[in-house]
Amino acid sequence: MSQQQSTPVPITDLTKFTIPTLPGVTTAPPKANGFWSSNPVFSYLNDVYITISEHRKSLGLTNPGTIENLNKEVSRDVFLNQYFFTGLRADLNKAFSMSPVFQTSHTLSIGSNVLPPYAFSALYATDDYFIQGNIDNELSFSGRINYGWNKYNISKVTLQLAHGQPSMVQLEQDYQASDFSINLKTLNPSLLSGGFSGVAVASLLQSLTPKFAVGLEAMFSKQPGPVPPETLVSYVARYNAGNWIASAQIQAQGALVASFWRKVSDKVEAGVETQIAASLKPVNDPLLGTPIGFETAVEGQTTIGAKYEYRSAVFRGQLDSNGKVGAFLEKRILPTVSILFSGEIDQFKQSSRLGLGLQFEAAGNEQLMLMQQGLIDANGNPVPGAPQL
Amino acid sequence: MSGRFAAPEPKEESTFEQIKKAPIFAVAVNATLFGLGVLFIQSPLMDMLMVDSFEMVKWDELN
Repeated sequence: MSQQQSTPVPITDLTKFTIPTLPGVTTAPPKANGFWSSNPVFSYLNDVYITISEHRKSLGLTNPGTIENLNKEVSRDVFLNQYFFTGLRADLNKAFSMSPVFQTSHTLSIGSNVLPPYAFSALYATDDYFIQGNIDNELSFSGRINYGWNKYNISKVTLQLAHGQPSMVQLEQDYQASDFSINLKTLNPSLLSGGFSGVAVASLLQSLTPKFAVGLEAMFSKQPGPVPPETLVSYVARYNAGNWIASAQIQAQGALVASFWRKVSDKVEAGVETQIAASLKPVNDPLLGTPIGFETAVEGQTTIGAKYEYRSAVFRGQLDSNGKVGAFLEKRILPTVSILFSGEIDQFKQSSRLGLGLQFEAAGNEQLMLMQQGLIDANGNPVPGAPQL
Repeated sequence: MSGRFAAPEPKEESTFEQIKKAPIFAVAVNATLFGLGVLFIQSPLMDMLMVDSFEMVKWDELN
């Protein structure tokens, strides 16, 4: 008998046994020691998470943007909403530096229902920070601070202190992942009245395909005192086909917003938007004139518009179903001077509104001045085709 | 005189006014306008309204 055969294998050392396996089935490779990987429950959950994550990556999804910017291309870029003004105005903007960005602006206005007679605003921005403040002649102040923790997380604080009006503070957190966006915000939050009071809004926008995204927005509102809270949920969808974007939003308070945008060329964009809103209107007794009940009223408005970008001018025009025709023109007449013109005619009410403005750009140093005049680029290099210095 | 006045007869609304007052009317009109707007923007008519870059430069020079 040989010595090798006489050496018994200890029965406690199970690793030395070869266990026959089924054909085509292999045992899982050993994992690194650790509670999260060796624990069978967490190991299973980890595997599920990795499988889902890899499947999501294989779909080629992209970040769908935020619900706040759902129809930005139409309502902010093409339409006049952000730009229209009435009366006379003059803006004096001065840029002190470009890195970090620091600029100030003085705005003077006459004959406007919205713009104050005088407003001063300042802006400071770095790669992480964005700080903006605005104060007018009635000492109404509004300010905003944005801070980017990383490329996915942005915290925002907005403050408004208006003369004769309640102050407003808004805290906001944006999280933009590879294929979804989450936004949490709260308006005038308070825990001093025996629980939460204020407005809290949470929204999620998730890409389902590289072009299609759906989302929802939930709002919780509670006033101080024995007032029951109010909750609302809105649903959104967005389809981005590259050169055209369609979006729809069903708001909980009974409103539907649908928009369509198309980039016709590099310099021309067009958009259409429909808003349909249902509301309760009081019904009065025809003889006594006292309210006797409510009836549902549905109102709608459809607007179509286009934006043309010229080399030194931008033109926006729009037409809506309530008979309003509007136009806005921004024309650069000198490298540092622009004229603004806005006009609107209400065909049904036979009324019109006009606005005319001047915008001056000043530079805090020579390099910025040369940049404003289009002679050098941001790196200080001469722009091709520009006159030699 | 009896001192009584007959209540004014409420005017009968025409069929068109009744349709116009119905909530579905505003929905239908705006949905139709939206559809027509999309068709217009996607149609070759919108491409014809596009100013090509040469004319844009020319327009700039004229102004």
